[in-house]
Amino acid sequence: MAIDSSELLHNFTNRPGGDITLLIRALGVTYEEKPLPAGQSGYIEYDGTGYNIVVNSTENARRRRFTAAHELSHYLLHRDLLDDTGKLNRHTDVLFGAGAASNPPDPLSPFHEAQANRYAAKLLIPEHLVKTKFEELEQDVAALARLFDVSQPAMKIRLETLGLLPRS
Amino acid sequence: MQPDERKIDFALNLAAASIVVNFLVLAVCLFVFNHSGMPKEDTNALAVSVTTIEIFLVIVALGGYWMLRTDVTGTARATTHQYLQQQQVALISAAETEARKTAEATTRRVMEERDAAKPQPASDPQTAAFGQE
Repeated sequence: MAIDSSELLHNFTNRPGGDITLLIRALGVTYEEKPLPAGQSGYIEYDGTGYNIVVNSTENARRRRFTAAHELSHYLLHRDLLDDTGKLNRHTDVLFGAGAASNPPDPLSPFHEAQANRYAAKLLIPEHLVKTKFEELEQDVAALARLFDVSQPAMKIRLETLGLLPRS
Repeated sequence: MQPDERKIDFALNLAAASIVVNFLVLAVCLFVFNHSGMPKEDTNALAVSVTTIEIFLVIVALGGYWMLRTDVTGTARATTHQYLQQQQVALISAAETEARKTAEATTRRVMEERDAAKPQPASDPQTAAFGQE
């Protein structure tokens, strides 16, 4: 039976703070956390039969969660760009710290990185849900961040982007 | 007549021909057996009996076959048409799925090429914020 990715995404984005790894696995992608070289956040690869997402286990939980969402975005948006010949079948990301500005894009482009970042933010803090909770929690950014399992700065920027808070 | 129907007709004619040929071969065998005179006893009675049975079987087989031929033809054609329709549906479905995937990816790439021309920020405050505890 074919996996309905739209329905899985719909279910995930209707509950705040969901386990992104469960969504990844439900989509038929293998997920693994293991130590990677310093600075590397994670990677997505195509092994000829399926897609694998690997996240650096040495990074903190919030980073791992966002990295997982970012790699999932690559899977949802760009998986057809990953080569299946074994030459360009892996895309490694450096999402945080000084190396983020020069994140090696191959075989994707910087635009794809920006797109995956935006999509990951939308996955972790869905617009329709955060707007509802924003009112329910009386605009409490800290409570919203806890509910959506993201950092307060990330929630604040997302709320600003959506026009719910004035830009600082 | 469709090519598949011609194949059905050909198969049915071949079946009829095989019945006839089968009995002809049997008749030839019996004729050779009787004509060689190998048995010392008089086997005319046996030969006549077997030939009579053979003729009867030929009539029954061919008669029965021709009686059923129309039904067999109709059923075979209906089955073939149903099978072909199923195959067509499966092929169309596979083609639609492939076309949808290709169209989706192509649209995405075209949109991306359009947007990629815009300057991209070197660093993304939102992403950096997601990395904070």
